[in-house]
Amino acid sequence: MSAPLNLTVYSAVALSQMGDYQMGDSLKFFSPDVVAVPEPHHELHVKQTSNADIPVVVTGGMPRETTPIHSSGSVDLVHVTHPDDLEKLPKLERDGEIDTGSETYLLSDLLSVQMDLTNLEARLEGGDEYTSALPVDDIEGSYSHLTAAANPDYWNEWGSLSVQGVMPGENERLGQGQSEIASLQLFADGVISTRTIAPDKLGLRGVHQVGQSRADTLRENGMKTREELADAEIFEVKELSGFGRSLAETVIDSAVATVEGEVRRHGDEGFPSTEPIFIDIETDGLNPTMVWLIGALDRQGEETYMSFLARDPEEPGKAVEAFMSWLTANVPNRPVVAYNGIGFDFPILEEHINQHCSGYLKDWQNTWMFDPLFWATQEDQATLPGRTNKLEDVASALGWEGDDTGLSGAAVGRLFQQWMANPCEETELDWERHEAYCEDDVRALARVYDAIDNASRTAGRGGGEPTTSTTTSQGTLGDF
Amino acid sequence: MSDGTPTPTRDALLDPERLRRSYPGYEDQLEETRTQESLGGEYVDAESVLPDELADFLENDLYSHQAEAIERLRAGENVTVATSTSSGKTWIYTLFFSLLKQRNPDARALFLYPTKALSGDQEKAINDLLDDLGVDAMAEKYDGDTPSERKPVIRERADVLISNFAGINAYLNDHMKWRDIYRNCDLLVIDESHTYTGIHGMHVAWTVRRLRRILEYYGADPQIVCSTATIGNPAAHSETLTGAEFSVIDSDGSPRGRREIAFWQPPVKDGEDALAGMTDDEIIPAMRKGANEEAAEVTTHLGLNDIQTLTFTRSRQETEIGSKQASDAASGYTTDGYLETKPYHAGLSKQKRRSIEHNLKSGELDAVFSTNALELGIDIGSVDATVLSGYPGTRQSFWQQIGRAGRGTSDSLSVFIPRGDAIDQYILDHPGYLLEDNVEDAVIDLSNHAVYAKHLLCAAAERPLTREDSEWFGPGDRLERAVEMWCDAGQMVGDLDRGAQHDGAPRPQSDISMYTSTDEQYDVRCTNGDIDMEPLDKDRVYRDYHPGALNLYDGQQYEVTNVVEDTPRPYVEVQQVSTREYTKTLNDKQIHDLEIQESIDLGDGYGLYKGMGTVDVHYHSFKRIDIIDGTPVGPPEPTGLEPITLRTQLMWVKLPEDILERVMADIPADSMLEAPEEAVIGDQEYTMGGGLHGAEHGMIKMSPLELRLDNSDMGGLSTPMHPEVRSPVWFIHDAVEGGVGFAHSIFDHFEKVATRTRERVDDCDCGRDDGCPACLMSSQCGNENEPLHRYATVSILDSVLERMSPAE
Repeated sequence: MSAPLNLTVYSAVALSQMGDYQMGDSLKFFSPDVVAVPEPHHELHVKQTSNADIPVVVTGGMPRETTPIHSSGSVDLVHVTHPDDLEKLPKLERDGEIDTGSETYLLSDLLSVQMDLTNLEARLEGGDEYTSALPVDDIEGSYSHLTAAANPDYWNEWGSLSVQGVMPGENERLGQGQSEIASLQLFADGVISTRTIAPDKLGLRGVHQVGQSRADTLRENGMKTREELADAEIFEVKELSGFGRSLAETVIDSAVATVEGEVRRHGDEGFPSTEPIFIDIETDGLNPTMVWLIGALDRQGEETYMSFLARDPEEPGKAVEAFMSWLTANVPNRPVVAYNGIGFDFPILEEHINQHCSGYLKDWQNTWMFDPLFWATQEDQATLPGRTNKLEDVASALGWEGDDTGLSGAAVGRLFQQWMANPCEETELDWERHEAYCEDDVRALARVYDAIDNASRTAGRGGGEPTTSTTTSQGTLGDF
Repeated sequence: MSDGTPTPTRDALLDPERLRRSYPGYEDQLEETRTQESLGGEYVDAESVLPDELADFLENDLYSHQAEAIERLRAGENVTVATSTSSGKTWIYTLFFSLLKQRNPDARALFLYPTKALSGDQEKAINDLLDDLGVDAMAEKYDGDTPSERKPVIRERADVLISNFAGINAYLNDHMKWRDIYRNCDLLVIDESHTYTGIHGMHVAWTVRRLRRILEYYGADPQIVCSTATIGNPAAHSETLTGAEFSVIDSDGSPRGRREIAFWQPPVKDGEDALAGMTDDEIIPAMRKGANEEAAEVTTHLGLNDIQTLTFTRSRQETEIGSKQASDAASGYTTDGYLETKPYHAGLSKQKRRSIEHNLKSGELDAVFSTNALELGIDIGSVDATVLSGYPGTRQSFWQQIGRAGRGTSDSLSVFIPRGDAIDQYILDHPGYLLEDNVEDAVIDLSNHAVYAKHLLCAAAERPLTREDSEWFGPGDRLERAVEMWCDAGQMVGDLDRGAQHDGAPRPQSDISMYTSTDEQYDVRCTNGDIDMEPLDKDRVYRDYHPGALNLYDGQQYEVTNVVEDTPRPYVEVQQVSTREYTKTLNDKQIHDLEIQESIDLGDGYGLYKGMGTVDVHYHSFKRIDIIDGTPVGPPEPTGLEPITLRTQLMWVKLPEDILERVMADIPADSMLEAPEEAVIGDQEYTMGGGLHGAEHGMIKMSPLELRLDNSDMGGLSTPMHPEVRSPVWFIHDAVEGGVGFAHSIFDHFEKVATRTRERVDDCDCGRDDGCPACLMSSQCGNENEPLHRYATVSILDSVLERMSPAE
């Protein structure tokens, strides 16, 4: 599988909020092949701050004569500004401008989704004009249609049209996602993997406890980058307006963690004392009807990696049951660790165990579950490196060189849903590949865990009193 | 001081005749009296219905309806108890739960109330009961006020969990945490279920279905008890509310004494000397003293004569004013004029309210002026007399308020004092209306797609949706359409065969507002004080809360200073004011794209229709009007608002073109209206238009006499020639996106509503051609109440009613 084309999309709000350093940081973070922005004046903004000559697509501009094509490997991205452009596709194929052997992505703002609740209808505005302009009989390749009028979480098949949103904040619950930057990995086989990041995770703002005004203060005092902040002494920072001794300690701590690529540990409360089992799960969505893959790593004695896979949607509980059977028989009384387990894996496993193999429910409920993300962030026991707390960012900041072409949970979920809806050769997943991704994630988790375990404690952590939390790692994030 | 023992004076006054004779400065206020005879109680031995372990703890026998309800529950049925307030309904379900608990120590229950205040009162009452019965169980309140640390504790150990529907809606998202309660839930109680109508009723009905669906997932199928005041359709209402089937218990076995009801018309205002020679028929309501002032005086008279009196007013402000007026009036009496009186309403602190309740019960207070806060539930013992300042809106409320008078089986007196509006005047003219057996139907309608879709999304977040869920959210094709819509919108994935999951932003339950029907809810904020108001729908804001609008809420006047819409959460800014003006909003309205769902052909071009339509309305300007003399203050001012469009439910009455001839023949020749110069039609059509317009207004105004609905959430349009219907027509529509069942229920009860309207309009004392606020004029009319023609209205209503077959 060849490398995907990376399209990074900035919303207008994100652009208005970001300084140059953050812009540069974002380009470094995503390493896009193509950048997209909403308005013409944004194009200048991007070009001014980026060193490399990354092509910029303006999604909201006036219709243009030309139809630029940007490629990475065999994947082509075509900027379409008017339905008439679609008629050019057969010729572009014949001329070899578009590689028909791989999925081709058409980017425009011509398609938007309108909801009409009173009539129980959702409509694809612009869909009719678009579809009639698309010369289906004369094109050979397979096309996916990206639209700047929908947000990056949006994907739907409207008849034969596969539509993916790209613009953060579009069509969302008001106020949600508007200020974000989206990165879309466009694969040659048609799979799209997306993630988003908020600008306040970038640059100096990305440092813990540094908001806009503190970032400004630091910049005015000669600290413009994370590296410079990491190098600063506490006395240099604590006297600045908006800081104090303990805050100075916190921010420097956080900057060091990210720059040095290490974990800064503050406490011991609740950290497992015995070697745990590391797990990761794959489901068919966020509120899943099925947990179809569980990876588990046991490093005690001879290292064992187990993969519990359920391919058949008719037997939805198979993976979960097999996992519990193994867990209780082979590695009882060991802590189970999952990244963001408290938010995702643990409640989902509990529900599915209850549903499919409830005999194991008590065993599961008696298991010590540990979530390093929750422990570090909610219980304030450590500072993790990386711009965000996502597993891939933290692991990568620690030097982990994992599988770069991993798919987002949403993308994998979608693939599995397609398989479930219509199990056949076309929709069947490459099971081995997914098992490999899963194993990669589990090992990345182990890496992060080790980094925390091995991290020496930093003296005098700032930002707040060390918490003696009354909740254990199995605590809950808010009660309803 | 009233200590419960009848004294000669007391006994004497508990009778309208004697009230009249003893009343100082009597001015012929007593128009009518009605008597409700006393009823002996019907009792059943507790042992015959309950096992000894429980029956032994009961001091008294059960009322017949309590016994019947328990029998039905024991037979495994769901039960709706539709009896009066102090008939011991709480006992029924608490006793039944005790039974369940004895059989199964793990049994748990959910008791749901409409307000947190009522929940609080009931928590204590239920725990006391359980104690008395020697049952090892505890009831605990769990809602937005419960501190988070207590919540897991309550979930774990409360036997009865007391809450409300807004809470349940939110808690369903984390149903895993409630697993133990849900699994063992054997009883679900919905108290005061008659309050769930209209938009709020829709939201509750869908929340109940989501709850029952999750209960089923955990293997529970609790019996349901709906406790309701008397409504016309208890079985149908409970079924629509919950999706389950119910047996109805409505014959009240609790005893009551003889009730005398005096219909007391306020006298003409002082200073109206010119009216000295006028007959009763010539005096219009506006010339009379206000009901509240009169109520204060009557209360004073009764209170000073040892009759402990509870007086109900329509607003908090009126309770304060009334209480003061009464106490002032008392000192003007010739006898020892001191009246111990207090105002009571939900705005007082808990302590204050408890203290008044206690003092009322103990007899230390001679009179209390209250809002309908004292109508339900709260234990104040009984008083000797009640005075009603204005009709409380429904017959059920009327009887609840009257029902507060009468100690045990002794006699009582109630005095009803009407205000000047249409309904009150109708009742004064037709007192028999109150004693009719029919009670208003509670309107609850599930066909609003927008509300349905939002709850469906929540249901998907709670558990993936499958075809089997058409049990709760069917019929099948509606469920499919909604799922397809959400999938196309990117908020759901999957399908009904495998399971459609929620795939949107987390916690869709927080997007549900239980009192509005669209996403665009506007908060109301007061810049110079507090205001405790539920968020408003956009159409309501544009209609009643536009910039410059003056509104009365809970006795306080507010002016809208700003409507802010370009934020994630739009809001309306108001400030407290005190002016002698009110505002009337003018609008332009069109109705089009009609879809007929049901119709009744009355032949010869007459027809009744029910369906959906698109209402375009522009609330473009408003006028300030002086309250005292009704004159406009200044020129009309623009609202600054854009037109809005609603797709909603409506009904319409189509008439043949030759109705014009009939109307012309029926009306007095000299009553013809003059069409204004700009009108494109002649005087005759203009006058007929006044008849259509009057029919539209009249029916909207009178519909609450038959149906429990909020007629401020309705609107209408009338025209001598409608482009789509192509004939004279008047429309009545819901003013809420998607509709809420009101207009449709008017269609369903057309004959009754039209009959009452005709009676009122014809009888009105105003005698005016263009009617008055008591018959035809509506404060909500966007057309400045023009044209209106009373005789034409009667003629038109007659022409339709004549054609309705007796069976309709």
